[in-house]
Amino acid sequence: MIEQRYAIGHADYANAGKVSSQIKSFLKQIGLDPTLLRRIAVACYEAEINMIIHSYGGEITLAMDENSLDLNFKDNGPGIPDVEKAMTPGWSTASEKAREFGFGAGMGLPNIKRMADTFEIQSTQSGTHVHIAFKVNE
Amino acid sequence: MSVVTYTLAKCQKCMKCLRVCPVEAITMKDERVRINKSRCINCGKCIDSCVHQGLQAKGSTLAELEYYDVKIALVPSALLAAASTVDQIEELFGTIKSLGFDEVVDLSPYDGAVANELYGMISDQKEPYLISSFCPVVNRLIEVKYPMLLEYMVPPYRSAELASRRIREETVKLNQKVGIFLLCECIAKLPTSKYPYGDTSSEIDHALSIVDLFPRISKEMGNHRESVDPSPDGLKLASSAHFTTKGHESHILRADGLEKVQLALDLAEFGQLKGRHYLHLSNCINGCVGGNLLWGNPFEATQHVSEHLKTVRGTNAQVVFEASEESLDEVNERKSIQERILEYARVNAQLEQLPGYDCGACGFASCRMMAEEIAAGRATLENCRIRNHEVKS
Repeated sequence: MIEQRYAIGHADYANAGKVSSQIKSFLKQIGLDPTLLRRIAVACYEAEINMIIHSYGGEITLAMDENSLDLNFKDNGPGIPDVEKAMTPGWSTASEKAREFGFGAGMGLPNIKRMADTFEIQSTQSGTHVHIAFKVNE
Repeated sequence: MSVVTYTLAKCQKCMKCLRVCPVEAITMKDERVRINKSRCINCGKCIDSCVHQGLQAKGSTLAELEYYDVKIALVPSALLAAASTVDQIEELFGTIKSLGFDEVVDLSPYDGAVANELYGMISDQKEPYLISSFCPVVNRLIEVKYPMLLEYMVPPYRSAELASRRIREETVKLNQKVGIFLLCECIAKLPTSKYPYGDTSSEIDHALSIVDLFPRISKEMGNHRESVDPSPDGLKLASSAHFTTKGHESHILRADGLEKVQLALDLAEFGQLKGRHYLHLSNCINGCVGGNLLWGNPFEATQHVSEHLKTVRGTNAQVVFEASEESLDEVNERKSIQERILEYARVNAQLEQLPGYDCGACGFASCRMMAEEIAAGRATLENCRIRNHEVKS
């Protein structure tokens, strides 16, 4: 079992994607199946960017064994008021500033769900927790 | 397969090559540089970094000509960009012929055919994207570092192979020894005559480095002439600034130089190149026209292509494209996932003992590589100079 933790700062656009890059390079070292690797990379990147744009910061944790890979994205709020709406493709609350940077096309959460084998989301005002998992069978 | 050769006598053991290698193929062991031949992507960064000429890439020599009855030179489209006018292209072809060839074949009609095939693929392509395969360095880089993008690569159609296959078919009846010599504008094409990419056999007999021929070309230039009718599409394939197809301009992403290529591939892995249908990638600056074995500079070459495109009207070769039976090398990592996770954990345990400076003083390009060696029992923590220094002080 391998466990890793990464901190994500609030509105830290300068470092956007760095954690996903580290996770991607770790998974390449493990030598996962390329198609699976790509699904994980895309989902992880979307989720990391979501945290940077929308949250007050938080933490990404990774846990992996020979059967599955679990990624948890936990932030410190402010929470998603309407999760159902947020899951609708094209719907976005990204700020003007975020859109200027090319973020906020409204495809983040639906895309993550599409990539992952398991997708769970819980959100309250004190924070959002997205859990995604992938089957790691050969 | 690496074409980089190492000369121990010239090596100052500065380890610059070790640090610039993008795929960590170079290590220093027993006071000498070792190149992992199967990992090397022939990008030429180490050769550029070596100020002592300790590293070189060599092709065949013209001495090989004497073993053949009929000698044929294949000239890449990129070389046309070394000439400033079409008139000069004809002089260049005449000069190359004068070096001992019976025939000089312009590859631009074949490159043009490849470009046309690509135009069709780009027009039909929807997201995500296709990735070009004309640059052997990029192909190897993707194999080594970006395996998840392999499935997006265009089949490796190579104009030199298409042309040499045709020459072979046409000359087989002659019952003579026909030698096909490919002039190479970049280091990475030197090994392709013996180890063609994505294909098991090659009809090319020898690969020559253009830069090695330059002294003789420059001496003879102006005394010979050979008529040439270059294909504009072929020139466009070789010059990244010019490669485009009507109606799809914004769907094409061009990146040249290894840093830019790697950035594009990193983003492609995250699915972040939205709206792009085709990635045109080359290791050499400005595409093949900036080939690292050409004597001119890439900016001038691009300008020459712009000029040539105003006048050249040559037609493309008629070629049938068949999908190669040999697909890209299978990744032969056959340890179980459990073993690989354990191995990673073992390496990480060693990595935590190392300073993480990636200084290369131990002879390995990164602390991670050193940790892998320690975990495998091929090195010890005492090989780390930084750590030794800290323990003492």
